[in-house]
This record gives sequence, C-alpha cells and structure tokens, in this order.
Amino acid sequence: MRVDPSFQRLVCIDLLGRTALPEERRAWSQGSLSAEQLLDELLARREFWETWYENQLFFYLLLDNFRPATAALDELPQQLLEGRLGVREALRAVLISSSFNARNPGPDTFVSTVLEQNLGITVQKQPALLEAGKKMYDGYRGKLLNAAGASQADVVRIVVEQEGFLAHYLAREHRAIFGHDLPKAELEAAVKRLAAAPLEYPRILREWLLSERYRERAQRRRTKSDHAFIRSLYVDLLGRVPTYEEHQRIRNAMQSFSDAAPLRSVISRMLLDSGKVMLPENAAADPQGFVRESFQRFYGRAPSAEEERGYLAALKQGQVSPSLVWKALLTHPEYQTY
Amino acid sequence: MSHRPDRREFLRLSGAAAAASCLPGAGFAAWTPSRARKTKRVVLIAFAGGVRSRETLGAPQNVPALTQMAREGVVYPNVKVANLGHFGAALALFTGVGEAMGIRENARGVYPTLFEYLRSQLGLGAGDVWLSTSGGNQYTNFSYSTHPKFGEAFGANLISGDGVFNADFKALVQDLGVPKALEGDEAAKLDRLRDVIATPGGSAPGVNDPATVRRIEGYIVEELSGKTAQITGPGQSDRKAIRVANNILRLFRPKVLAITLLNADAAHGSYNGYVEIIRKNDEEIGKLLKTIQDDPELRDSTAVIAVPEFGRDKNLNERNGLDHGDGSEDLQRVAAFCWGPDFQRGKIVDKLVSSVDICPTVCELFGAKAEYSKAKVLPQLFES
Repeated sequence: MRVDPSFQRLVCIDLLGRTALPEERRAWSQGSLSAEQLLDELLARREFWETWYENQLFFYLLLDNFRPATAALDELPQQLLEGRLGVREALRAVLISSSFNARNPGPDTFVSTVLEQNLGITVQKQPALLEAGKKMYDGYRGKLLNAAGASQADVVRIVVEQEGFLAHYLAREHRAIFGHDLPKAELEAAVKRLAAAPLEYPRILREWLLSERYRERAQRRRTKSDHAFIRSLYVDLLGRVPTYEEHQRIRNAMQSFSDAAPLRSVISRMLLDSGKVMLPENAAADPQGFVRESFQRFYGRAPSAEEERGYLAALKQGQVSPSLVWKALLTHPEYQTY
Repeated sequence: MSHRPDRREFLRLSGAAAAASCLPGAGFAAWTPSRARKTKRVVLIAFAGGVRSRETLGAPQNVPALTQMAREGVVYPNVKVANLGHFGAALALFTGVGEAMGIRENARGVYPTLFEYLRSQLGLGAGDVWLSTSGGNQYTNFSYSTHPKFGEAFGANLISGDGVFNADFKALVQDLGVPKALEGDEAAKLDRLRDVIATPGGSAPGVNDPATVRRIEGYIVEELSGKTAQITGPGQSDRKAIRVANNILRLFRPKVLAITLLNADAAHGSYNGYVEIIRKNDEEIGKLLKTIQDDPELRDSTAVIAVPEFGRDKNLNERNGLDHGDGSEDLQRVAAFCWGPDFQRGKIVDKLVSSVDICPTVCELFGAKAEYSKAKVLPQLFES
C-alpha cells in the first residue's frame, strides 16, 4: 500500500529530525513507495545515524564547548551505518570520551551522571552505590553493581554492561517518539533482543514505527523538539538543512526560554523577511494551489474546506499577501507540533 | 489617606484571602489582591553568586541602589543561609526549604517554588510570573519543581538573557535581519488568518496562552532591536538579566518577577572583579528602581526584595579572591533588603532570620501560602 504524506512527514521528523526536502517529497509522491520501503530507505541513511548521534549528545548535554571533536567519535554514525558497531558500544564510546569527562568533572558529578542518565538511578536514595562508584573512579579496586573494577573507565563499562542500561536506553527512545512508556513486556523483549543482537536497534525501531501504536500516536499532536523545529523550518523555507552553526545559534537561544514558542515565531518571521525565501511562483496566478501547497508543506495536511475558503477569500480580495499567509501558517501553534 | 489595617485586621484579611484562594475552582478571574495590601507586584533579586554583607551593607559606596532600598525599606543584616552550594542555596530562596541539592546538580527541585504556589493558589497565568536568569543550565530549573501537585503547569516564564541576547544569536540576527514590523492593519489580518486555522485534534497545550505568546514575541523583537544584546564585559550576563527583567516589568507588568544573578562568583579568582560586578549590578538595580518610581502604576504597587544565597569566606585566598567554604559568619550570614509600599521605612531588623523565609514572605504578600515550607514570614516587615 502506498504510504500517505502524513506518515512520510511523521517518520521523517522522528528519524531525521526534519521534514522532507522538496526533492524527497517529489520522489515519494511518484511511484508506489510503501511504508516499509520508506522506513528501509530512511534507516539505511547516514543522516539517520547522524541525527541519532546528535540526539544522544543533546541527552548527555555534550553541546557547544563540550561537543566531542575527535575523529573517532565523528566516525560513529558511519560505523553504526555499516554495522561495525551497535548502539550500546556507541554510547559507551560517548561516555568514556574526554568531552563527557569534561562536562561532568570530578567523581561525584561523573558517577552521579553516569548512574542517573544511564540506569535511571536516583543516587540520593542509594548513597552507598554512589560512594562505591566514586572510589572506583578514584582508582580504588572495588565492586559496583556486583562487578569488579578499579578506574573511571570501569565505572562506565560496568554501567553499560547492565541490562538496565539497554532498558533505560530503549525506554527513553520510545518516549521520545511516542511520548509515553513502552509496555513492560515489550520493553523486556526488546532488551533481550538487543542484548543478544547488538545491531538490532534499527529493526526494533522499524517495528515500532509500523505498529498500530504509531498510527495512534499520529492522532495526538506533539511539540517538535527544538532540533526538529529548526531543521524543519530551514527545510520548509529554504529547501535545505541548517548548517551546524545556524542550528547551534538558534537552539541555544531557544534553550533560554521555558516556553520557546514566541521565539520560534520570531525566528520564522526573521527567515521569511530575510529575503532568502522564495515564495511559490503560482501564488498570484493560482491562489487555490498556493493555499493547498502551503498547508501541505507546513502542516503535512490539506486545508479543510473552511480553511481553504477563508484563505482564498482573503487572497482573492487582495487583503493579504502570500507572504502574510505563510507568516500566519508558520506562527500558528500547529507549526510547532507534528 | 489610605486605610492601614492593624495587625489583627491584617491577619484576618490575609487569612481570608489565603482561604479563598484555596477554594476549588479559584481561578484568575476569582483572584483579587488582598485589600489590606498595596503590593500588587514583587521583584525578587537573588544574588546567587555569593555576596558578602561587607561589600553591600558594609560598603554603601558600592551599592547606592541597595542603600536606597535600605533607607526607604527594611534591612535584615542577620539572614542565616540554607546551604553552601550555589544551586541548592539559591533554590532554597524560591522553595522556602533548606535544599539538599549539590553545587553541580542540574535537576529540578522536589519542593514547589514560590512561582508554583502563586500560580496554583491565585490562578495566575504564566505571563504573570517571570524568571530572568543570568544563565547556566542549572538555573533554568528554578522555574518549576517536579512536585506531583505542581510542576510545569504552574511554572514561571523563564528567560536567560545571556542565552538569547548573546554574540551567537546576534550574528544570526545580523545575517537574517530583525523581522519587519507589521504595518497598518497587518497585525489584525495576521490574527484573522491564524484564527481560521483549525488544527485537527487541537494544538498541543503550551505554557502560555496565544495572546501572551504574541506579546512575548513582540517583546523579543523589541529586545533584538534594542541595547540588551550590546552589553559586554565582566558581569555582562547579570546585567543582561537585570536589563531584561526591567523590560519585562515595563511591558508585561507581571505579578512576580525573579532575577537570579551569578557573576559575583568571579570572586574565586579576583576580589576586585567581584566588587566591580557588585557595583555594576547595583547600577542596573538602580535603573530598575527608577523604572518603578517613574511609572505611576508601578510606583505604589511594587515591592523589591534583594538577597544573596550566601556570602563568601572571611579572608582572601592565594589568588586574591574569595572562595566560599570557611564556615565563617561572612559566609553564613547575609543581608536582605526589602523595599515596597507595604514595608516599614528605614528599619533594621537585627533578629536572626533565614534565607528560606523569603519564599513564604513573597507568598504572604499575595495572600498565598507556601504549604510545603516550614519557614516563617520575615518579622517586622510590614507597616503596622
């Protein structure tokens, strides 16, 4: 069965952190691409793993000055793509990096962060565990979570080897896509599967995205992450993804607000007014086509009859310009969600 | 001449207001400020980088604005602090609880903040409650707690001036330009176009209502064209936070506006740099006081409270700086300054109080209650 445009948009945002590029939309609208084929195509891209890697760096707050800048870590997406590495080992590489160490200096912060972010342990409730980890970090031989070690790297190794590490990882990945927890039995099965076959994550993800649960999730709008919002805005308006610097500048600014919605609108307006955005050529000659194409581009859906009537009336009477139409669509709360 | 209730009447009125605010369904429309109080707004300035009384109360030449607050308000020179890590100690000012959080923790507190108490009990919107912070990921956690009864739905609007009005973002603004002003009836047309959109299944709920989002949007555009982004030099993050707060006060007139300042912690490396930051911050606080005094609406309705989270060591370290860890009186006793229409004037209260008393005091001003805090309202604060 041919995949519908709303599914295309949803998986594109969830897997690539952006909406579809114009050439992708054109390609996917022709032929008879199925949902399975689309997912296979996206999961086989380096961009999928680059997005995955950026999401992990964001989760561990390895941003700006703390962003890893070593060739080995830069190569992680390619290694993951080629199946030379699984997600567990890739995360271990991040955790033993000098960037992670610099971001979490000292035994207290390092061990607390490793335990909390990877196993979901509240260290205040387990002070003995924290103390054991701190001693091991300081080079003393000892046991942590029933495993022996005598170094900072051992703390990471022991944590990463826990079954709870995979459970915690899969649970947060599921929450990021669905907005709720994976049912316990399914989580346990997925953990076993990933523990036995380290390269299995993309296939687990593929099954999640083909599930009925994902169809249901599509009915409930969720706010785009800052990452997805910025990348989608650039794709939707400029037909390209932002550069790392463009993305970083905007994301850091968005992190400055507890509610980034107003700043998102301002940035949308900045881009629209920058002179860099080309409005469709058919805007004046074919207002109906313009309105339909604009709703599809920004919202991934056709306008309702009432919406189309309202916009067409305003355009035909010359009350509003095509630019103002785009401004309205981009600064409406719907654009902040998917 | 305005009516000033006696203590008994004051307690009766504030108690009644608190009780009314706890009624089920008590919302914004139901809320009216206590008739016993002139205070309708509170600005709470947290010096969260560690500031000793020696450089404020003990050196009026450094801090003319705080000195003005002391002259025209109430000073507490014996404020016992709640924690000796910046994060936990500053959080305690907002929760009224001696927080156990460590210096590097980057997590929300478990106890509700005063923002959550006020929004929950008084039915205030997010646009009524603001937090302007000098920066740092940790300090964004102050806007709300993880408490199951409160949390994000009752959080403060938070803005970190140094995050958005910084060189990085300025470069983006230079590249793209500031959004064009909407001319003539364009704003109304834009609103009409947006009103036509009927999102299937409804939009995801946001922190702010659409009208407040629009106002904040306008504010950001104004700031991008203004001077906040041009502040540079030592202590710039603090000054931006105060400047941003000043503009928020002017434009949004929130009920509660908190400011967290961090740059004084430069004291670790330089005593002189630390004093300079205190002076520069005081200059900006002076501008904030002037905004209040020059505005007929704000003048007789706005209280300002300024307090450090803790002090600093008694003696200089080997770098001619000041750390915070010697357990001295300089570290563990700070001075709080309270200035407002309901407060006594020129009063010094020597009694030992605690930094956690700030939270219930702010709540009390609005007739709300910090129900998970055992701290007390600051004594002898109000005019009798």
